[in-house]
Amino acid sequence: MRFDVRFARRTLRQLTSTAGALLALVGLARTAAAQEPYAERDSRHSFWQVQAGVRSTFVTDPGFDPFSTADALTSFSVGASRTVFEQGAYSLAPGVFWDYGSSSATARGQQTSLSAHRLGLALEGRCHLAPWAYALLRVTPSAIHQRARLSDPFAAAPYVANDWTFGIDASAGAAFLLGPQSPSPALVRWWLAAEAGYGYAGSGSLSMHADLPSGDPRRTGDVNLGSVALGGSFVRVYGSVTF
Amino acid sequence: MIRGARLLALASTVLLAACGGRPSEWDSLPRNLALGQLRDAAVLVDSALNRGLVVRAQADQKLDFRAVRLGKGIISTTTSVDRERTFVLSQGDEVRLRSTDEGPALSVLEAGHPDQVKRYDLPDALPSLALDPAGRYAIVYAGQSTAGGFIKNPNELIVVDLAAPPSADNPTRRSLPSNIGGSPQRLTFTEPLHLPAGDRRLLVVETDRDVMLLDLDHPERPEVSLPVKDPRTDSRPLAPAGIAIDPGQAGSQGRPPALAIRTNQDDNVIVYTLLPSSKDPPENDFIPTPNAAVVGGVPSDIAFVNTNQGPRLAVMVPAPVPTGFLIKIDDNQTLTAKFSAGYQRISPVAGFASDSTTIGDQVMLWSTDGRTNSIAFWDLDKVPDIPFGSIDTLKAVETLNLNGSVASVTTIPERNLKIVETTTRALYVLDPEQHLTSALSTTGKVSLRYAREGDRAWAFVPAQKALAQVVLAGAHILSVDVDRPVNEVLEIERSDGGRALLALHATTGANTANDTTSFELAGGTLGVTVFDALTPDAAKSRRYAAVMLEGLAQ
Repeated sequence: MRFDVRFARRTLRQLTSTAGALLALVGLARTAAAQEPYAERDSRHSFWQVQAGVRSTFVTDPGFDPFSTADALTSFSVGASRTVFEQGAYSLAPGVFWDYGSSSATARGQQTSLSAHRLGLALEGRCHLAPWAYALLRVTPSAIHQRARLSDPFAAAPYVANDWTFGIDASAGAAFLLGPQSPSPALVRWWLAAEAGYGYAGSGSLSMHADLPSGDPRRTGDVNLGSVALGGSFVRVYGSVTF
Repeated sequence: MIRGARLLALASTVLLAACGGRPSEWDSLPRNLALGQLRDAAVLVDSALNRGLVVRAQADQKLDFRAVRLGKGIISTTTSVDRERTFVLSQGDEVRLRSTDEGPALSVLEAGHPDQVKRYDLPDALPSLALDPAGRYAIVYAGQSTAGGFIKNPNELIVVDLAAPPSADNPTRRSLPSNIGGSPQRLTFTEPLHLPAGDRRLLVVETDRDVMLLDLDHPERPEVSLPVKDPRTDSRPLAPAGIAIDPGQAGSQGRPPALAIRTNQDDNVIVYTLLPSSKDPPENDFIPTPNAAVVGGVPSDIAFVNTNQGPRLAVMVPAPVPTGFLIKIDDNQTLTAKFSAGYQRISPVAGFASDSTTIGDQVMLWSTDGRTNSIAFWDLDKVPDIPFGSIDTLKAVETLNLNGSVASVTTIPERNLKIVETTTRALYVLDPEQHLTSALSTTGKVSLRYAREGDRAWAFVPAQKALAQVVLAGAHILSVDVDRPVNEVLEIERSDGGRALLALHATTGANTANDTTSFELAGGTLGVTVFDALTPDAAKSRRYAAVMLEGLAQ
């Protein structure tokens, strides 16, 4: 599936607006929560969370083959979320995530690389199995911007292809409290988490054009490597700070 | 914590699963590229991936790429002279253990629809290919190549009828008799011969011992062996060195077809006249009748020519005395012409027209022995009406002194032009009919490629940034700016009726074979600059790079 750039940008703006609204909602919720006696809430269940980690996606799309020898797209991943709903052992935490990953290889001797930004809005449900652990289920629609690059000695300039597409992830995982274990609400806590799931991604075009400066009179033909969809099963391991 | 450890183990397993591979095609380097040049497409034969990349040109110097599957183990790529078909010969899987493994095949790509490949499965992996100029047949045979299977029958011919689709009966195989130990070396398809039972084409097979005739229209008829010596009285290892064919004249009173054979050692030219036979089918309806013409030296070339006295067999004998012979084959009347130089080769300017009897040809005489710094035009319209004697070469032969000895001569049949290249890197464009000569000087080893129409050529210095258009009529030069070294050029028709010139760029590896059949890709990559061939302007050109990646994502 493919979207044009204007549609993708509009989608990204909408996602960003929605994320802002959700964060505002989170802020309101936190304000409301602050009016409750904090002793009734376990700060190990309800918190702001900032996380950073690594995501590895098993990309099975053949369009990824020119850019990787191992079908793996490894990304740096950061995100933030806030618990907005809690009942018993269950809680709900929306959040915002940004992944950046790249892969490089050679395709029949030509140097290639592909990088991808993924900006997603997550809705995460948690089941607090113990004060020191919770299981999670997460759904993350996202906007994906991908950039492919190809170098060739006969090209007037490196060949590039930029495209926007969208994706949606569904994953499950678990987080473990490293410490401190104290229920004191004022503490900053450290967690280690891992999740695995499947991410669907739309196809982005790999019709590559020479990245000539504007005004360069040379005319070039495109290199057509088809399209690539950066979806597939993935695993994410991250550390987080809650407060 | 145990549950956490299990989850981590699961995550690790998923991570490991992500370490997959990719198809090997992305890691294969195209080291060698064979080229097919169809009228309207270039075929880049990518033997590393057993595929062909069909390149077609559109308006505004745009290219369209389409990958087609070819056979495994590609041996050779050949394009017919008329550029209507490209033939790719493959030997298949080396070891065939499964029913799906490939056997030998001949893949045929045709102009007009080059992405629809016809595949003819072959019963044997033979490496040589002979093409019918009329486009009806292709014959696969062992020839002199060492490629192919580890054991092969050198006398086997695999005949592919290109007018028929592949089937159980097409191709057919035929083994020639080898009762004197010979094997086919060269195959020649004749034009229609005026044979007693009607006009038909024959296949002439030159072995290393004799010559055989096969009736292409009647494969059930036996082959006819034409010996080049009497084995009972002559112990010399004579081998055919060249043939010339006179198709004869139509009609019952017309001149019968004839085949002349020169050998590698003998000072005779053997002429077989194909006379009517009284035998009924399935025997042949002609019988060859031999005649020997003594020419006083080992001939270096023979050709049937038209003179003002009628058709003659011209024979070039460069030693001991440079002489040309004109032989009337029905009664051996012979005229001789003494030349001032040891010309080895003879080329009729306009070809041999068997029905013309009153107007003599212009023939070009030349030699590539490195000792002759001239070419000559022999006017055969000034042959005296005498049965035997000498021709006054002062009147009939015009000599053109060159700036060096002849390295090669190329005939442009569409324009009756001859392009002569000397060892001193001079080029001469000769128009023998108009008696015009245009000389071009070059600073390096120049390769020439010709447009299909024959009115222009493309000159380039392999692996250098040097490209020019040569308008052959008048030898006008138009330099073409190009900013990458050119390794090969080819011209094809565009989809809008124009012409596109494709200049191919490779990292290293010039095409040293001076032909358009193979191309070394030492760097593994190929670039193409596309020009409008009719108005080659660099400002309107278009550059394509990483061409060998095209078609992989289909």
